Amino acid sequence: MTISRWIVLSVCLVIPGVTRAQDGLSKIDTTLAFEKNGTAELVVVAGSVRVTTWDRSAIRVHVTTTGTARFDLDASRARVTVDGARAESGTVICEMTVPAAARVRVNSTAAPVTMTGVTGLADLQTVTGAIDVTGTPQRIEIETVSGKVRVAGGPGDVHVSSVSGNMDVEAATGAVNLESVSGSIRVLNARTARLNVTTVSGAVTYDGNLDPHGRYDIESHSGAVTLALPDKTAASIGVETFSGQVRASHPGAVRRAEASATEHTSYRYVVGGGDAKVNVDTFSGRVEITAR
Amino acid sequence: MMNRANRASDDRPDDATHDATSNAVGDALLAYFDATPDERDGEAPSHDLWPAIESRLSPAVLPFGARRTTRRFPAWTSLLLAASVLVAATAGVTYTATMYRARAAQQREMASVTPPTASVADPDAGTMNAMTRGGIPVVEVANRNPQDGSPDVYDREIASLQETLRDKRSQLKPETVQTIEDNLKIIDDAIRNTRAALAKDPASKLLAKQLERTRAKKVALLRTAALLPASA
Repeated sequence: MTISRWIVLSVCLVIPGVTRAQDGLSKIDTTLAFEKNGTAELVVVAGSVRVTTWDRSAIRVHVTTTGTARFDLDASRARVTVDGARAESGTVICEMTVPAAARVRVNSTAAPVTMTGVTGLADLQTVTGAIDVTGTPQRIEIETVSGKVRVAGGPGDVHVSSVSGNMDVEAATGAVNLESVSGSIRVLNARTARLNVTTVSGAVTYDGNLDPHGRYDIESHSGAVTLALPDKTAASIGVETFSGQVRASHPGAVRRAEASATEHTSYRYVVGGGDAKVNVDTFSGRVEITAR
Repeated sequence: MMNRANRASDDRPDDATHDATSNAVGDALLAYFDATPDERDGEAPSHDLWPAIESRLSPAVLPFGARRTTRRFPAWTSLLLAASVLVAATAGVTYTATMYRARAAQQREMASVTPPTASVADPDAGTMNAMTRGGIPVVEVANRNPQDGSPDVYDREIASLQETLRDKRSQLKPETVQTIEDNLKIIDDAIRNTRAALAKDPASKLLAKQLERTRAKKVALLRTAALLPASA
């Protein structure tokens, strides 16, 4: 093999596709050939981000700016990046239409992010920007400081982490992992079999069905925890708290004695057959088990 | 049997005839063996048979430097395959080594985590000795694990991240700083309350878990804040 062949081979291995780059743009509206599972990346400080899907092996990039804001565009068949991180003033309004199976990564400071219909992987981060996701991502990772988060629907796994941002996760059926310091956490119309929630002072609400083989762990320091369960639920619910009040108003909840724990910190309720395993730990947070 | 022996004896020539015949045959044989192959008309082989015989007796030796003239794949394909195998093997070794190191570090950290007890000092009150190691600020905290004297992993991490956050504070928006500080206060209050409770009930596993989780939350929050982009 000649040296030139080695060079060509190395380049082919390192750079999977030809890349086009355009810097300092103020607007663009273009449609590019794009792999169905390609990666769309957006970095925005202020403005807005909207991601929708279509059934084409192409990506539409429509970006406008206000003020002095500018952005860079890097595009290949496998990856398209809109980078507006250098925009110190003004806003970047970005709309992308991607193949449904695409991977979407958004990094926003204050821009709200809306994503609909993505079935691939999604990784969304904001500082103060709100995040609204509708659809069925295979797996979604969300991280925010104070942005409000809403994730609606989907069999995929959901992981949301916030500092003070409130979060609503609706109709989730995949594994749900939610973390916050002071933001409220609400899991609504849930049908998940795996839930893991940790918070310090944020209130937690789980309103949904429990899978007979499911496992549900909720940990809170001072945040109140509410479990709103259907009448025909079959679950074994363990509650441990140092000073929080515990109330079970669910008609099927029967308190069982816990032999290995002290009376004032440990409770065990059995609802129906007691198949699903639920564990709630709080320091001072109130715990309520109620009917939906 | 006896009849055949008698008949053979009867057919034998007399001694004189036998001697003459024997001498003639002996001379002819001597002459034949003394002659060169060319002198023996029609007796020389048409070609040299030895190489063929030798080849059957000796092991086959391939000529050095022989090259196959036909290939199933081009040479670069083989090299590409070899390179892929090499890359995969290297990546595997690197991954294994990295995971091993990570696991070892994790085990070291887990081993050095101070069991939450009421006697654990407030990390914020610890005496810090800031250093720089490889450009990254490293803060040694005076608080030590009472069991083995090692620095408390949470205290060390918290002190280091707080140092980073102090440097970064001026780059962040005031409202972001306020959000971070408000939530740090929530966490510190939770830690303080849990420690106070733990002082009254040091054997409580629930409180020990709560304290550990809340401290981990503080580390996570400081890490998030430290990684925020400038002007966030």
